Amino acid sequence: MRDTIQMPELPGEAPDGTIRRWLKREGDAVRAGDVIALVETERGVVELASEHDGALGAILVPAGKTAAPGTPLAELAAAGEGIPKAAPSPSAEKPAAPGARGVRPILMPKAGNDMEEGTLLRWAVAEGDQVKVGMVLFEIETDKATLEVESEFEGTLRRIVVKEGETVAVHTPLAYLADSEAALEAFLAAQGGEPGAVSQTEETGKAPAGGPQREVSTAVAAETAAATVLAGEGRVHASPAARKMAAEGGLDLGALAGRGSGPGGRILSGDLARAGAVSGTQPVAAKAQPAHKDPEGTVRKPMTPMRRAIARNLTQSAQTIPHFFMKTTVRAEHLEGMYRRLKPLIKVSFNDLLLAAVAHVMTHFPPFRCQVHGEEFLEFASCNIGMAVAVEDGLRVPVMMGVDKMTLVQLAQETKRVIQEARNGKSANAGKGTFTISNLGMTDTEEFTAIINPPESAILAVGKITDGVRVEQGEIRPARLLSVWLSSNHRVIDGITAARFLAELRKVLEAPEVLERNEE
Amino acid sequence: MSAPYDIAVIGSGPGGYVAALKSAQMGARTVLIEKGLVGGTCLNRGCIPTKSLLAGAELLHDIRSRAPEMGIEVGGEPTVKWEVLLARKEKVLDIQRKGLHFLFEKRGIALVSGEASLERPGRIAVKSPDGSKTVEARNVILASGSRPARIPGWPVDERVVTSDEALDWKALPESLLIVGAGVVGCEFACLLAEFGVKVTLVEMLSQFIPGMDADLSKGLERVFRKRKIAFFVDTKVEDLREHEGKMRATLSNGKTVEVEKVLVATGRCPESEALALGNAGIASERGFVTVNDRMETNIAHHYAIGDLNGRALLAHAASAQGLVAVKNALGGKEECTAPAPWCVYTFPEIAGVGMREDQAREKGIPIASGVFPMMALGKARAYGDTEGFVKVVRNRETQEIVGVHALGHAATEFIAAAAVLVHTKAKATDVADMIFAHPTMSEAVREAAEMSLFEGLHQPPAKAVRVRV
Repeated sequence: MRDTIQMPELPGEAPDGTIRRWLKREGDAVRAGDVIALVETERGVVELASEHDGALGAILVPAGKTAAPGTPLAELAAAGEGIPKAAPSPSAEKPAAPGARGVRPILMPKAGNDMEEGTLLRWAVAEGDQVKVGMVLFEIETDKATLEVESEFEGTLRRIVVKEGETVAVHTPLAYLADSEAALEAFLAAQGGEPGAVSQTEETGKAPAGGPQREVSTAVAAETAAATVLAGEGRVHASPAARKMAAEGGLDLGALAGRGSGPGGRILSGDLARAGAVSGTQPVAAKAQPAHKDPEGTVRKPMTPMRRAIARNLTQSAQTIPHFFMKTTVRAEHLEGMYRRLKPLIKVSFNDLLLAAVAHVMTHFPPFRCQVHGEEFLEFASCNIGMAVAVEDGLRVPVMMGVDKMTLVQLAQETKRVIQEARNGKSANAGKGTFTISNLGMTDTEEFTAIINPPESAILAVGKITDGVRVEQGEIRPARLLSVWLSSNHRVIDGITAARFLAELRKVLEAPEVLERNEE
Repeated sequence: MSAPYDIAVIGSGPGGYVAALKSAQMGARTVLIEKGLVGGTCLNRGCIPTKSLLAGAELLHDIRSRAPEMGIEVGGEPTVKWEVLLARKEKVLDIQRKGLHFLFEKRGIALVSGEASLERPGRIAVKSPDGSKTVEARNVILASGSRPARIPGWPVDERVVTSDEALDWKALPESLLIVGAGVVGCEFACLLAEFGVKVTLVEMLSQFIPGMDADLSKGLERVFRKRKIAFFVDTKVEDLREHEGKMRATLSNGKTVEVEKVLVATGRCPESEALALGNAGIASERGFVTVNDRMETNIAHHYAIGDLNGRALLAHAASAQGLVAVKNALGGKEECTAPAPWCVYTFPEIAGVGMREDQAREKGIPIASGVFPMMALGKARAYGDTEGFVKVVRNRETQEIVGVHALGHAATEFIAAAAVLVHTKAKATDVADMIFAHPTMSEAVREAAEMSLFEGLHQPPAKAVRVRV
């Protein structure tokens, strides 16, 4: 039976514990009484000893993270049963550091469902270094975030094959842990001498236990050990379906020998379908060779992943979303007064008030709570609003979920947190919004229009508040004026709907006291 | 009426006078309005006079407690001549005040004597025995400070006093009830008990110096117990009246205390009434002026710093806020968010910076605490004062030091090092790698940081705790 090891009740006023160190690795044999991890409490270190014999399965809470009592920390497979990660072997008592055969490739992790490639920003270790579990190996940048990747295994880092600055597809080997130079050579020879051509048999970027969106650190390694064994034997293991498919398609199963996704590298039909993607493991950032000589002083710069993502998304948006634009001008005296009054009390920002006002109106306008996917709308019950946050060399759009259900106090705290996260390279709830606010009010921009952030339905562009005049009862009076432009996706929003939305928004912004009514 | 000033500062305490000096240094035309002596509470009725008196008390304590074991002989029983100590205190204050006047003059700050009240934004009426005048300024920094609170219904005479009056007692009382064991109450208890006053300390809340780390409070209780200072926590004074020439207090625990004098030390109230804040539309809460991190009030070009805004009630916080207010008044956009260390000048001293353990827990920070006792510190042993400890609170995930709390000789000095660590978000792991000079009291900070990592060398190893999972 497979069981989980849970965080026990710990002494101290706060019962949570932080994993200080794992003393066993995934796949290690565990005897009853063995200490498997050290946990820190407020007052000291507690040793977690196993109650049962077995083998340690997947580690669910890595070193340095905190968990409440009852949280599963790792899987424990009972003695004699299959172990989820590493194949049980007679040598399980004395775990060979890098996988069987002494070689373990380290792969570009897949740190998110839509991650296809990553740029290796920085190696934290060098060839020849002793790598330990939990040690930061390298830092990568995806189009969403930069993250540090920790090792899940230990051993000697023999060779780095992807250099800093290179962009490669997920699951591409970046480096190899190996017992010896000879073992690595043998391994690579068995792979056809092509470090980049290894097709991996297992999803190894670990999905964190807590939920789908945690992108903090991704333990990574690969189990390709069995592959080399079989490749060396000169015989191809494949399922009957795969053989049939290969025969029909005239494919050579030998090309995938031992690298299938079945047990022991057995080739399955799905592997053949994916075979085309093998080339996807090649470095994808081919260097563009300039056809002519650039003028002196010119620098060619590759786009960062973030810039590429911005370019891709917004080009697609500008070219395919039928935008239409609408402007209104708001008298901002009350809004400014409210901001000045609340700022010292609850540290609310001007942007927070805009968010609250938009959410307040959005609740009555379902089209603004929609994402557009092909010929379908995805209508959300709550108001999920993105904020365009300028970061170094680009922009991130973290999304605030359920703004309509937040008090101003909560909103003020939450926006501060997600903006800070965005500046640190992480976009909260990316892709879950239906509406974005782009606020350039702190600059000298009086008004501007914005491009919709797909698949959202609209975006509000907010300029600065200016001194102007208004005619009231035939008299010219000074006024504080704020112009906002609404860009709407005509696929989901019609002109009259947008006009009503904007009129409603103006009303709320001019009498914003309504936003405070839910401050209970 | 003269042309408007760039900045008018109301109040010349450590908030106001620092603001005025900064303002003048930055080239602004500056006026400083003060109704009494320059230097505010800090210099005239707070920090400096109490520390002058405490210096005498601590010296006497040292002679009594440490001199004999060091072979120092003092002819006869050492005692204090209170009137001499008072006169020395006055001399100290006088020198400091003269120093301020000298600085104001050299920096071209106009000093106006009298009580300030706002007529409207940017316009201040100053009343003094010599007549009234009006001051106009583009920016106004309110720094009128605070005064000791009194308890409504209690007699107001020379027998029931606040710290303001106690600092000028002509003679020491034979017995004293101190109501409120905050910073002021504890410092006075420490001071006067050393001089032979029979002190009883009563605190309504459950610990000494509410708001301070509870272990520090317990440490101070232990010190007071050794010094035979009677104290009651969780106790109220239900009734206070004269009885046969003495003041008789009935406590909520049923006890009665008869004393010659009563010192009310229950807190401080803002000096905001005379300012007539309403005339300028400035918002306040219970008299404390509401400000943001930039020290801005709700009215443009009007700032409030120090005790008046109720944020910290610490002289050094007021000074820091004063600098921020001046820079913002002159076009800056600074915020005052640095952690302010705080000090209690009992002997041994108490100091802290950053978060308490319970505050960190409330914020959801996973913490680990390390405590290092002064008893294990070479310098403390050699010096002859091994009372106290340092506690370091670490974030278990980021390793950052989030708070440092200290009781011990020179704690108010080495807390500066801890404040730097907290302000710069130093990691406990880094501090454990830093070299602290030996032998010093400040080594206790490094040792406590190591203890918080459960890696201290100068304490016996903790017993291993093993849990079956």
